Amino acid sequence: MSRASAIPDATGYMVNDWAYLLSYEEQEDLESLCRYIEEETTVEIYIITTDDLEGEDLDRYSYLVFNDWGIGKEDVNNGLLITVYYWENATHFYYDFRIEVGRGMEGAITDSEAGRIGRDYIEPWFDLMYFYDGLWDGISELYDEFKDDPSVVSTIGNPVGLAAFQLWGYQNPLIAGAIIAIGLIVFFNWFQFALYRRGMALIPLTAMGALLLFAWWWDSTLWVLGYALAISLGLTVFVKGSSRVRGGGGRTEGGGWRS
Amino acid sequence: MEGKQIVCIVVLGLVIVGVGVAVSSITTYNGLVAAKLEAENDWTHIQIQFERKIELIPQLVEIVENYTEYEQETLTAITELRTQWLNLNGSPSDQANISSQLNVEFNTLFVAIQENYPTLYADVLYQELFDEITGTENRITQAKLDYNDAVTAYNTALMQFPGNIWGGMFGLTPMQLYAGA
Repeated sequence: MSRASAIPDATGYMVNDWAYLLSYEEQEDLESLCRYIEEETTVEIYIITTDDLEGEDLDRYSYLVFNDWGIGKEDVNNGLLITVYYWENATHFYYDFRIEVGRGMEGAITDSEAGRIGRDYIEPWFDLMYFYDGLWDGISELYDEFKDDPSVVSTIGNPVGLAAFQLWGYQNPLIAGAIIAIGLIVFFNWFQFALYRRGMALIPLTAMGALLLFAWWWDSTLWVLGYALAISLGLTVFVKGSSRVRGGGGRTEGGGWRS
Repeated sequence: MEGKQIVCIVVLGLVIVGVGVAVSSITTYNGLVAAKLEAENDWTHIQIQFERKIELIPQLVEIVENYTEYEQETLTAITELRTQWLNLNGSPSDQANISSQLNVEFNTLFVAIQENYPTLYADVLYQELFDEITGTENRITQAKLDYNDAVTAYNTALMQFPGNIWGGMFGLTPMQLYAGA
């Protein structure tokens, strides 16, 4: 839809401080709070602070962002979005905020409950420009409302198939890295052997490249790749000795001179 | 070139054009129908939120009645509008009309309460109801905007080429925007 085109893309962060109302530490704090709540209850809480509503009013902006980003899990629509609109000039600041409640959360957090929390727990802090405290208090209160409610818990279970495999690699980068490293060492030896025999060096070389790409895909945070490289290089250098890495294959006819 | 070859090429050309026309008609028609159904679905969203708003009225009247002495007129007007609404046959313009009249009465009532009845204004039940009503009003607004977006998308597809040809052939007509949204 054309109207939604001005809405910013999702950033991958749950805390998006586009109006610079929070310090770096405060952002990290709120981010980990939101991540914790998602781990505990599967509920997704996002925060946006902005000074530009893209020509929409706050209600519409918040609605469009929520639906555009798809906040909350698909099966129960358990998302929450706190949008803070902030504006200032030389002497005054002004804010407006909205708690957008996902469709599946309306049983746990009704409009009136959202209003109560906003009025009693967020506004008093925001009025003093303590945006971090207001957000923290507000989210804590909201969390209290839904934490014991089974209806907001998504049943989209743990990832299956490739996603589960990737998650395992992310959680156990050292083991995954060691597996990749073994592969790298095997292929590296094959590569050296192939050089020595003057043939088929491309096969192990390609396999090593593929292994590196695989490690990258396995864990895009690059921990697996890093461990794999560290282990394979370390083992190669220490066990084989770096000086023994040689091409080989030169011949002589016996030409030269001796005294 | 022999005659047979020419015939062959012509036949092949006709077949290609025919397939193209068929594919274009199928995809365009399906796209138009899907867009229309989405717009109609958005229309039901507006209706659902309107119902929610109407259902909140008895609660509001009950709470306000116990507290206030001089707002009887507004309350009667609101109750009457609700009765009118319940007797409607789903005519969109009447609905919009009553809804906006209700908003005017609501505003009168809310302002009066805020100015003249501090106890009621501070009352938790009233606050909650006020939040519910404003929340419902927001849902109606968003639903209307969504409906208008969907209708615009459908109408655009219907009026642009090739939708204008196939739409006319299959008897699809443009939908009306929700005015004043």
